[in-house]
Amino acid sequence: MSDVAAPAFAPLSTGVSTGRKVKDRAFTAALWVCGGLAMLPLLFIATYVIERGVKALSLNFFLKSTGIPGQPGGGIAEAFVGTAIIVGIMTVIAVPLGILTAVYLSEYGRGWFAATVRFVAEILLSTPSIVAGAFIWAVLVVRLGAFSGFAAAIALCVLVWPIITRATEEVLRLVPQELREGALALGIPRWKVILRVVIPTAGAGIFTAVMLAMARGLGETAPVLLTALGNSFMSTNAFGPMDSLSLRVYTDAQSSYPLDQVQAWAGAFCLLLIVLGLSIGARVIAARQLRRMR
Amino acid sequence: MRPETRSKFHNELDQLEGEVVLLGAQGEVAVRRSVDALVRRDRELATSVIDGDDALDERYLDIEKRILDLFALQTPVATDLRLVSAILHINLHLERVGDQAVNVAKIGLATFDLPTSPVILSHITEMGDVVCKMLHTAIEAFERRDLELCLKLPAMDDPVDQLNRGMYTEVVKLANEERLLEWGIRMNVVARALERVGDNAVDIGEQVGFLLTGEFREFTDASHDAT
Amino acid sequence: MEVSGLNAWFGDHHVLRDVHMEAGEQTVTAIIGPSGCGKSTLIRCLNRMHEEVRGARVTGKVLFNGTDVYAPDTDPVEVRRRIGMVFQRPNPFPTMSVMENAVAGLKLGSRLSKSELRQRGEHDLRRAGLWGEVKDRLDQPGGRLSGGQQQRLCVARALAVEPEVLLMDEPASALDPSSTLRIEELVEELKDSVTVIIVTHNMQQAARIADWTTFMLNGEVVEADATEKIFTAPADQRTEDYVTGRFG
Repeated sequence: MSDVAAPAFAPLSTGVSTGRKVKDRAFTAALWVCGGLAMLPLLFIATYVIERGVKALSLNFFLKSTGIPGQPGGGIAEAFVGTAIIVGIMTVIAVPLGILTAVYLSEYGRGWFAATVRFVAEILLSTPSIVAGAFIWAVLVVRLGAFSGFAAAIALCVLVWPIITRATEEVLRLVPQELREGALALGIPRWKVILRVVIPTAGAGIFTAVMLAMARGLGETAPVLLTALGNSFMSTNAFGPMDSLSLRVYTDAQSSYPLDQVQAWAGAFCLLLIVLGLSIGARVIAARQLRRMR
Repeated sequence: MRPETRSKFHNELDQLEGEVVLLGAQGEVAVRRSVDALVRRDRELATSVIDGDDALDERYLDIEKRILDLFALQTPVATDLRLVSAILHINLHLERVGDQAVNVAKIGLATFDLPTSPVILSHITEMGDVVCKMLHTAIEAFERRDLELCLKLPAMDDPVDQLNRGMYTEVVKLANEERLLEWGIRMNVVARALERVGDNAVDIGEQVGFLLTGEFREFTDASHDAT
Repeated sequence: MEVSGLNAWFGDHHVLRDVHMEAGEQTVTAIIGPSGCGKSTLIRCLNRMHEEVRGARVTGKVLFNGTDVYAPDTDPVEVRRRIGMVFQRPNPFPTMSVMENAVAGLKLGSRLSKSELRQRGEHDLRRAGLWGEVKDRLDQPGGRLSGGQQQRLCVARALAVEPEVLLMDEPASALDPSSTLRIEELVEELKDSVTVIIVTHNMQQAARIADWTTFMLNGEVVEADATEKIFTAPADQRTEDYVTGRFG
């Protein structure tokens, strides 16, 4: 037992140093706090709106159109109907247009024309909604001489189409090239490959894009104001003035009648619910499709 | 049942094994006939042995080419490799056996008009019998993958070696008659040829031993004394 | 099939130089060579898949049963139906079930009744050696099968449209060894009904299954001969160096 030589290497430390542990924990905690802070505005808005608006919710609210100002018993049925019609027309026009454009950009478009289209979509994406509204006002409302739900729908299209196009294009790009090749190699014409293989594969993503676009369309107020004007009477004529939920919230909020203001809160609450419903619904359906494919 | 993969390879291997066994039979027949022809002084039989060697060589070459292709194309490993290697070597040994039979037949043809010694003839007949049996045993051992059969071969070879060595003494006894001596010397060569056949049979046994055990061992070594 | 004077480019990059090649009926022809030698490009020119890439260009002739596949009035869609392809990584359609995948080419390419489709699907799944393993799982998504099974599904799918030639671009390189051997066995069985042209970077694979082997280097065909010849006594020194592993 002579002098023992020092070990050839230092033994492994028996644990993470305390300093490191503390830093780790602190960082994790900070991240949690930030996450929590990010959620706060949503919670705040939601509770505020619910609290104020729940009072006006009743069957009348949904089924009756505006009653005598200042008197209870009225509703904003026409706003719901109007929203349905305007957003409906918007969807029918913008969705196919958006998807087809996306298909063009992702599957066929090369060169300057495609680049231009993409650029235009980019610009429209960041256009202030009131500008879109004013533009359609000048083009459709003034020319045709009437405010209309149809014009509102077109204005919303202008805002929503680029969302659909860009999101769909992204999703289509994510479809692996080998799927297209596999289908082409079977002797299937290109358009069928896109229609029956590429688009279904991207299905979940496209669906989500459409849902999000619809949510955006529902929420826009300024373009609807400039083009559809609003209507306190029930109307199903898309080519006449029309009311929408967001517009209604705006008008009611400015009214001097407290009943109207409460209605505005209720309207806001409904809007929030619908938009949340769409967003969550989109995610759920997308997740289901993805799970089925595994 | 799991489907078989590499069936093409294994089918070919089976076929080649069959071919080698047939070659073995051909070789055995050739030796048998050549000795018969020599002893019975049958010209026709001797000629047929010599002519028949072409067929034997053809088969040998075919097997050789196919083995080479198997090495190149199928990269055999493990037992497959040992089998392919065994077939390659056995093929070669059998071709030599064929050549020895031809040698015997040729010597026969060249000496039919010379006088004979019954003693020597009987020794040669005996040697012929034994080596034919050895060949048969070796091929059977290969076919049946029987290690015990292989191990019998060195023992079977002992009498052949003894007879071969004894040949010299017998031939010397014929020194007085010139033509008889000539014949005797030629018969010595025949005895050597038959002894070679025996060695080839033992070698075949060694190859089978390698195939079965993965170890190559020489059963008898020329550099070691036999008991 | 016969290829003569084929040149191909990716933009300015000259990938195939004056390639000549032949593939006889009911044989397996392998194309071997180091990475980047152009073998994948070559077979993608055979069924006009090469031109699907942006900037790709082809000159020369590819004769299929005597007619030039690149003739101006030939429909590439028709060409691809008669010359099928299996790719390196299995690519079953994720939104379709096993059976739907198998008959995808038929369903999207012709009008057949449901029962006919099912029959054809079963027939081709059997041909691909997959029926036994999937017959209880026909409605499950194609993506749930193992790698080797997915690849055999792709083979079944390619066979369903009854091509006369099957091109295989390194079909087993993404698979484990036993799946690879299954695919090789499959190729051996298919030989009787389809002409197979297979690209492989695994020389031993070419040695095992091909009747005819073509060796390519830098976009050119160096040597093409019976497989035994290439692997026992190649004529060109470059072929010798490649197959013995001295480079590549």
